[in-house]
Amino acid sequence: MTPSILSTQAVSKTYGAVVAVSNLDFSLREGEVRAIIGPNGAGKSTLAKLLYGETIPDKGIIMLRGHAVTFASPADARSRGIAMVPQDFALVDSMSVAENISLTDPPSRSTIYRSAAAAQRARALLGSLSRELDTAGEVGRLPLSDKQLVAICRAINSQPDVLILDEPTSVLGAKSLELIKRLVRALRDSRTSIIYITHSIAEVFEIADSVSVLVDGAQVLESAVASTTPDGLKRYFGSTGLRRPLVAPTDSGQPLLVVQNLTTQTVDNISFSVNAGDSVAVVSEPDGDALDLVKALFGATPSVTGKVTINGNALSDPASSIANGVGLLAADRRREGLFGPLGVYENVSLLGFKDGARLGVMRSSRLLRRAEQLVKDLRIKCESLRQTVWSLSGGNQQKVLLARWMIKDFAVLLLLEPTAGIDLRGKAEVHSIVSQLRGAGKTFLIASSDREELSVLCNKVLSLQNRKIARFVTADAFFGEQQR
Amino acid sequence: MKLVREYGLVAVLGALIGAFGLLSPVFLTAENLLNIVDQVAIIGFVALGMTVVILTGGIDLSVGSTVAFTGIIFAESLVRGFGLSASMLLCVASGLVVGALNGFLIAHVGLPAFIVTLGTMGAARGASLYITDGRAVSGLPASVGGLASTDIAGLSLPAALFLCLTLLTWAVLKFTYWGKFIYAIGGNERAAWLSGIAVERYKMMVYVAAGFGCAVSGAILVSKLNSAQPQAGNMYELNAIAAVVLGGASLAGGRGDATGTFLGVMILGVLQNGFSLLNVSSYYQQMMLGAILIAAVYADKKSLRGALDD
Repeated sequence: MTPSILSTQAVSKTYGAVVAVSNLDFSLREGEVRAIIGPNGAGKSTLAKLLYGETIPDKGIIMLRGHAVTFASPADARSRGIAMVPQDFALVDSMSVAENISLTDPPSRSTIYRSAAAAQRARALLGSLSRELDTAGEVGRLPLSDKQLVAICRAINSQPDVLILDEPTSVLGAKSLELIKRLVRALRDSRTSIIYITHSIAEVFEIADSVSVLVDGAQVLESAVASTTPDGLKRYFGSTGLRRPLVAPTDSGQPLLVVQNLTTQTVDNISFSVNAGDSVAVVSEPDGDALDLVKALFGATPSVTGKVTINGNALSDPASSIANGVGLLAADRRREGLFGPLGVYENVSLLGFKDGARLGVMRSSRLLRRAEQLVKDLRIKCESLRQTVWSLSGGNQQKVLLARWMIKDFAVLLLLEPTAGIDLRGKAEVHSIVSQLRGAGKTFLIASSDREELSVLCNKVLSLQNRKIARFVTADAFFGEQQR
Repeated sequence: MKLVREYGLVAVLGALIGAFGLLSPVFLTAENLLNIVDQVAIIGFVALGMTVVILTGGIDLSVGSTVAFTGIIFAESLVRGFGLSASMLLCVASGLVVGALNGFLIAHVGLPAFIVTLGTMGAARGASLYITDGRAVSGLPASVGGLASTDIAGLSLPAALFLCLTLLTWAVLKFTYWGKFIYAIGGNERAAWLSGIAVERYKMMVYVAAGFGCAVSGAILVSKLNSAQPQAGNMYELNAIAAVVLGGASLAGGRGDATGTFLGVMILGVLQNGFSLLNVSSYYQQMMLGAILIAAVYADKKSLRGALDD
């Protein structure tokens, strides 16, 4: 048996009253690709942080090549051969691709930065993942998928013995999967061990040699992938897979949202209309274009020409969209959705604060009751309405954001990546909320990198290609053909 | 969490009052305690304005200069015979103008608050010196001097006004949607905009409020000194920011409130008063103030670490 390279023994970590990791034994062998899977709040990210020196355990020890170690910082962990690609990539937007890749491991030991050598190194690393990029280009201008690539190149630039990938598909979905597969193939020969954290059971079978299931901060299963099945893993999530929601979309035939001659950064002069009661999936290759189009409808992107109207009223910016009954669930929870330091109450009720206010004074008791009801209906897990949202798990944060758009009676909801980065149970819950809202006659436009989700939630598909609408057809026609 | 912080501040304030009471026989007299509230009011008005600015994630470095500038406008108007009410109006208007200028450049033009208010800090000071030719404005009507010592239910006018404005700020932040939107903008400006909040208008509003606080402070200061000094309000930005941060506000925005700022102002005032009674040099006091500001930010960072980690 190959020796263990990195392991934990009875490691515990608590944050305030929350036990993130409890008495965890975990062991990774040399050259192994290990998937770590588990529901939201199972302690996956905390384990990654412990192994990368971002935080230290309260109890227990971490062993590296059979010796107990204490990682004082990520820099310390890096110097001992651990590297991590964090979920948010942690790149310096104002620096170039080459500078980012060589940031922590410059091409030469001297203090003088050798830009030619750095560029060469960057090109070689990008090449090993079959991609060419302008190494002098600023990282901030790259699309998300290339940012992820740069983050991965930076991590493997130090030639680590252990590479930790923290939910690489949570931002870009299936798009990242191909990249990760290439990465795993490229690292296989160098005997690099990989820890692959994910929500997706399917990815475990595509990528990993072995799998650890974490539940409530402890490892409940460690198994070779070959000797387990998707169903065998699913039971740890306490919920079955996706089902077609109870309430199907009902196309009323009445145009509600009308788009005329719209030109944005990603589409040229397109026109279409969405009928009341429709649930339209917006898809594109790459996914970013679909997200951008939906954002543009809401008036949330710069330099847009054309007309977007609902009942004849123009939508020009978020405020006018909201005033006309159109809401947007943003894709990037942290940057565009949550008010981190504010409580659940404020985050849920924000759009209702103005209603019926006199001289600015809110009708607080009514707002509180409404928020309490939503928290109950959506089964948002929180200690109280005053708990700050940044201390909630990802799934609960997402439900808080959905609740925000349910506080008022919105006619159209634009959903961007509605279930990215949340586990199966959370996903099922979000889908059932969407289904209920549909029962109430709401119209949806949904952009998601999860095609299965779109096929379950939508009755029509609008696909973009080369800055134009390629097709606008029923979901059955679109997804049916893809399967064939 | 918030409760712990507020009880903590009250405990610190109580401990300081107790300690100074033991060290100085004069400290715990009713007269001296009322005197403290009267003394802190001038920083208090500025700190309340600073609170709403910091809640949006902004900063206002121009407050000290604005106190001087509005004071000069007040005194000059009086000297030129505008009468008390008209002069007060002009004083307040000048504060609102400086605040609106800051707000316009920050909210509508999109310049960084730090740079804009650093600029107006210099400009307002320069204007004060230019108008007065660097000299104090004196020879004010007797009614002005009486203003600051007017008795309102046992409190001096400045003290009573400070309590009222604290209450008003607290109520606006807690019970109105304006307050909630200010927190939301500080909590996540982009999300606030995506939620349809008129971000620019609210950011404008907080700097205008800060300008108002400065004008009140400027007028009271003139009344107390019976003259206007172009060098007045020196280092008020440091005092006000220290009080706000001590009161539990986060410089990143979205956290803090008026009661915290009130307690922060009181703690600084008690320290200053107590040290003065004990004959501690004012130079030494200023060093202490700097240290307290840094310590308060450190305590804030410590208490947040757990929340930010995950």
